[in-house]
Amino acid sequence: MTNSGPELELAEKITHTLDEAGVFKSASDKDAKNAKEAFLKAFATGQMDSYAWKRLYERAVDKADAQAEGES
Amino acid sequence: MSLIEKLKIRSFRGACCPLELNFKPDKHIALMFGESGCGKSCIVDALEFALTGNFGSLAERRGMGRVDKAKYMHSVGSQSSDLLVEASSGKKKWIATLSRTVPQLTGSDGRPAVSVLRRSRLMSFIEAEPAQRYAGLAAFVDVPNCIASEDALITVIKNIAEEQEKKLSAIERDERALEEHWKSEKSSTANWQAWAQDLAKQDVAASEIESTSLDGLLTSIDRLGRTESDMREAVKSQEETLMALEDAKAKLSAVESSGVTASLSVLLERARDFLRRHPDYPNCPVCEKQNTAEVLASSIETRLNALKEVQQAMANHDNAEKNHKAQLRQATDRRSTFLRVAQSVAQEIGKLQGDCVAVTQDILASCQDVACDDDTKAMLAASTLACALANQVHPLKERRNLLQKTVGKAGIVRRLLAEVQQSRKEWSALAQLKSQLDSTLEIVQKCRKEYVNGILLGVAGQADDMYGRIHKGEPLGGLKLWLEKRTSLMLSGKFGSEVDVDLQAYYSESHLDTLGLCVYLALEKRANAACKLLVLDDVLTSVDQPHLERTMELLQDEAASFGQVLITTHYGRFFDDFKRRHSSGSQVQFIRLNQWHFDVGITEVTCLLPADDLRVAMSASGIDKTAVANKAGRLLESILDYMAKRIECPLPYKDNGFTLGELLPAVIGIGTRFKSGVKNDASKDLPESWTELRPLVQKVYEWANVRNLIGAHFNLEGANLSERDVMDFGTMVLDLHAKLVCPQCGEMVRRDTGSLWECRCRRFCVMPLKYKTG
Repeated sequence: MTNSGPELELAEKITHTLDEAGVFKSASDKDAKNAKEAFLKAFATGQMDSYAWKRLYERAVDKADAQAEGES
Repeated sequence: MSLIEKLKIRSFRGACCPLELNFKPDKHIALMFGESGCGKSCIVDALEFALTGNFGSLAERRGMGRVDKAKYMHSVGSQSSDLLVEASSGKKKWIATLSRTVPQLTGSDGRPAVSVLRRSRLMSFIEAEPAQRYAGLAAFVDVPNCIASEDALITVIKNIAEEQEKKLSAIERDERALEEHWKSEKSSTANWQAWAQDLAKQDVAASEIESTSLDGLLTSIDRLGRTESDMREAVKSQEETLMALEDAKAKLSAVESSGVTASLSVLLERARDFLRRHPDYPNCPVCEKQNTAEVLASSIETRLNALKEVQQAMANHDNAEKNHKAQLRQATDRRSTFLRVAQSVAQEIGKLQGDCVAVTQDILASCQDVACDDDTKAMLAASTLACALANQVHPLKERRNLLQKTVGKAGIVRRLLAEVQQSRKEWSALAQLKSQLDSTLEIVQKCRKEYVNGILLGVAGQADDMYGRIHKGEPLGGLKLWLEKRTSLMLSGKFGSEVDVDLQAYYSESHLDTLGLCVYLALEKRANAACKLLVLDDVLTSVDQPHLERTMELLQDEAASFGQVLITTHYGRFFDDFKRRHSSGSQVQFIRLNQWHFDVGITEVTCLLPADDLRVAMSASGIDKTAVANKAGRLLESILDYMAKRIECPLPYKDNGFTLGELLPAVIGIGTRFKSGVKNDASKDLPESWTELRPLVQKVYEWANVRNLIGAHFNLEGANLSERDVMDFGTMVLDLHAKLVCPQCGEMVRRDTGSLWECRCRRFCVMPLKYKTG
């Protein structure tokens, strides 16, 4: 049964836990919100492929690099 | 309104003749009875086929393959194109046909969901290995999209680990190469790491420049050698042509010394030419002597032949002279080239930086002289230089090679060190990413397990509650469901004082059957049950009578959660027993199937409840007294038997059922406490008023003989009874029945509240709870 209800319910729980773990931390609240929403949708629909998982953390690295560059 | 009100079946498996089955819209449950082979499963399969296109029970039979199964979907003697199943509700129709082997679903939108539970599925749940058990329940607990995302995460972690391994291999390979270089160098540095770092820091630019210069010098030396060789060859050729010229001169002188001069030869040739032009000239043009031209020409020719040797000598001399001049020019050119190259080499040597062991003092002196204005001295210096350098080619090459090796090794070491550094950096980045993804995977898996186990916990709780209602007072239950791995569903329960036992080892087949049923009901309730048709196809085969009653009560209670419920059974006793407790106002529709036959296929028998059956007999035109008395007697027996059992009236021990003569006094013996009442509010403990039942039972008792006289046995006295008497008896029985059945749910009481009996909807009550003597 590919009911979107349970998928979404579980995806929301996982997104929330990952958020608490700081995975979606971004320079702005808006960026973090967008990242969370994109992740939730992708996870619940089975579209979190290898590239998307890598990008989840590389995005954070990019942001940190950009921030460090800005500060310097 | 029911989800399905009508089912039409044509040429579908056992339905070889068209069958139309009506489900009453006001009845939530349909209980279908038929002995084995009557067509119950065929009807269930038809419902499943109409609503899903699945092949039903046939699909669960193994070893046939899908195509083969499709071949057996139509009835014997018909074609697959004849097959048609139509389920309908109101104006909506859902049709299923078969196009060759492919099911075709047509008709209205909004096909109701259907879930069919067969005994085979129950058993597969209980008896299966944990992985298969999970597969059976996957439809209820699976989250395939989330699993796909989780799988991708596992894959990316695995790939990163592999990438890390590759980086480590590359680091090891490069470090091993550096160590090999260090060993081959036989360096005094303590270890290869320090050696490599020192070498990488070393400035090899000077060595690189010297190496390049030496390389150029060696090329020039080679060229100098070649130009010298060319020059010597040209000089040699020049000397040879000079000798040839002198020889030709000598030969010419020898010919001329014999008196025959070259000028005479020229003169004679001119005279011959004159005579050829003037053949008629009369005299000799020189001496004027009279002579014919012919004779004169002949004489000249003879003399010219004698002068040919002189001509040849002259030609040879001219050629020799020409050759010598050409060789002389070439020798001069090559000499100049050699000298120029020597001067160039001298300049290159001058540019060499630092000390070069191969450049001797002689060479340096020659380098100076080669550039002087004195041509002879310069040439001598050039030859000396060429000779000296030719002897130094080997040491120069050794020096160049050494320098090249030093420069090359430094380059290799620098490259390897850079690669090691880069690989380490990349490995660290991968390690950081992997660590983050590992943490994420841990969270994802933990959440998923918690989520699925949460579902299983809820399901286990609900199933356990249902199981307790079936197995009241038995030390069973304590059901636990949990995931061992991602797709291994574990199952345990309680047996007596033992908890978490393997149920298959302790429980009977009947207990396992009811357990499987409870688990499935709990699962089905989770998945949009209100919009679903639940079909239980003969799942109670192994359940004994007391448990069967409670199972049916459970099903009746749980049916409220579903859109519609169809239960099939082949237990005749159970069917009849269940039927007698329901009035026409109940939510249960009773369907009885006839024996199946080739000529008629599946057929339905009109199935009336006992009270309805009596009413029909009483309302018929032309009263059949025997039929009315018989039906009234049977209804009376069934309701009294039911109540006597609940209230535990004292009755003589017997193997078979009780007669009216035994039941009526026993029930009358309850006394004035025997009463019923209807509550306005189900949540209240007691009804607002009670109806005493003893007078009614007493009255029925007085007339009960009617049944014996004409409803049960052949008796001439029965003929004396009037139709009015029989009708009165029937009315009295119906009146008593109405006082013992809930006007709301249409069922007799069955719930023990601790002080009285209640019906399923809790609006109707009967007292007393138990018979008391004295």
